[in-house]
Amino acid sequence: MNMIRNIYSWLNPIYGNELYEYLKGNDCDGVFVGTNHFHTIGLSMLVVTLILLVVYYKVIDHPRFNRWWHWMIFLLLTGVFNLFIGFGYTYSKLNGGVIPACFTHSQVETAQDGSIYGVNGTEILFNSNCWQFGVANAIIAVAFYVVFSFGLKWLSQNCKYSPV
Amino acid sequence: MDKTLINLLAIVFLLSACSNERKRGNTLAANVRTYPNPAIVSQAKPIVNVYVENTGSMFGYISTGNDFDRSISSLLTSIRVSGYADSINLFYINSRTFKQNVDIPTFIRGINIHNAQTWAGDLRRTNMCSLLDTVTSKVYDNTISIFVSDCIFSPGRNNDASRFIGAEKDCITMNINQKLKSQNLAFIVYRLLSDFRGEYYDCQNNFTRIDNQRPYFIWIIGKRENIAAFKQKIPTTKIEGQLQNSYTLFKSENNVTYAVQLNPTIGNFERINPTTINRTRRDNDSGKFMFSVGVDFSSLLVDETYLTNPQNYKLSNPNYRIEIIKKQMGNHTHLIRVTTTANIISPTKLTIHLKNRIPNWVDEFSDETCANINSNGMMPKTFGLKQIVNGIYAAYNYNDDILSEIIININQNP
Repeated sequence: MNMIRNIYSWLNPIYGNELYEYLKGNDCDGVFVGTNHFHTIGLSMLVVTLILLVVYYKVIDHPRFNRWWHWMIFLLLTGVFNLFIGFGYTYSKLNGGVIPACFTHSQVETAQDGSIYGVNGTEILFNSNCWQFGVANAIIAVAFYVVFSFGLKWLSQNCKYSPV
Repeated sequence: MDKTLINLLAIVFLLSACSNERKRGNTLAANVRTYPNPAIVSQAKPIVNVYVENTGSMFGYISTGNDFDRSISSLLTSIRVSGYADSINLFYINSRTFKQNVDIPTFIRGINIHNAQTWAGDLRRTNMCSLLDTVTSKVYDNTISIFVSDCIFSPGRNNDASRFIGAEKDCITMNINQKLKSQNLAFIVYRLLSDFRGEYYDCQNNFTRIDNQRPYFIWIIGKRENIAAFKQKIPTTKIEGQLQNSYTLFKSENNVTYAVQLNPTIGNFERINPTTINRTRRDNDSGKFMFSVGVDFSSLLVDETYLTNPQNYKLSNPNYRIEIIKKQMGNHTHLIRVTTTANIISPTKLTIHLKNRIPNWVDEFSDETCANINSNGMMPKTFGLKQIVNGIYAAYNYNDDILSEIIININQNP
């Protein structure tokens, strides 16, 4: 799974270093403290991608649906599904208030009980970052879709030459 | 179909291998996690023994309502009301020690010239080594000593002053070093100013009548845990009057915890772990690259002004400079901003050392010449101050001159 996390790290300039650190499961000091969110998102992405491939190559598997653009429709579906998975997951975390302030604000203060909170007006993580993460998730899913296609197309009777 | 099976098996194997790698990685990360050093602060209430020197050179400070009076009174009152002490015992000290069975207001009121001159003991000379030895000897696990003195050596008329203070310094070093073998002692020294109206005795015991502001010192001596608690409960703001300088001597264990923070920053980087950053990129507009390191200095008994002075730090790479800000962020007490304007950020292991050095004010306000007190710039100075502080410093026998070490790997693996 480190490989999947590394793949997401290549695309972190798209969605931001802070979101990447949080999803990695790090605390404010960069120490891994648990829940590597890339496991959940990565597995979801792989499962959705594989399901769509199986649907295309095995469930539909129809001679009238074996052209390259038919394969392309499922590629787009894979991208869209994973865009919303990536967005939805991070959006729920961001707006659920579970992301520590050091990742959501450029300035933090410490409360009397020792907890930290972000200073108003210094937000650095927005809903747009969630959309950007969705885009990154879609790009990765599409890449896996292409790679898996070459392995799974041989399961098909009628679409084994789609896309090529 | 065979190809399909092989491909699927390869994917499953790959995922399984990655999963195992993750488990190993997590375990490693858990092992290298350095937890913050719990603040070494004693919870027990110590007994406080207060020793006010009453040799002849101290009489000039004794006047009701002046800064000397205010400072001692506010200090003792703070100790009482803060709940720091279990009990406070009050002593006058010269060549002998006299316990005063009175409460604090009476003790303060009792410091007057008439009483002072009628006390027993040798009021004519000050043997700093002996005085420090006496007050340090009264430090136990649950007892701290507070020593108030002008800290002026008085070798006497027929002694070589320079040789005398040199010998006294060695005497202090040996005595304190002996005590450090059995106790982890710490010393706070406060330098204060007060009106001085009376006879000033120089190192030759010649007196000059002066009416001016003169320095005196309050030493707090105790086990490190008790001194940490003292600094926490009795901050310097509680001491009224004219507290000018302070310095704490203690044995450093160099165990501060630190971690690179994601913000504030100028430019970009990726944090690999708390002490390693990669893919650094400077900001094109400002031409700078800056990152911040959160540091927990709470285990050090160092004064704030010392910690926030960049001159007290030594960096291994001259391309970097630092700024230290007091800011509580989670477990961190300070934020060190590390900045470079270098065009290329080369791979480097950046080491930041917090130096263990005696503050400049000790040298600045110390006199070794025994010059006339009324000569230019002599009034705020104390004869032999440097020897006392250096004597205690030397007693710790520091192996290296650093209080803490911070290492950050920039664009390279640890």
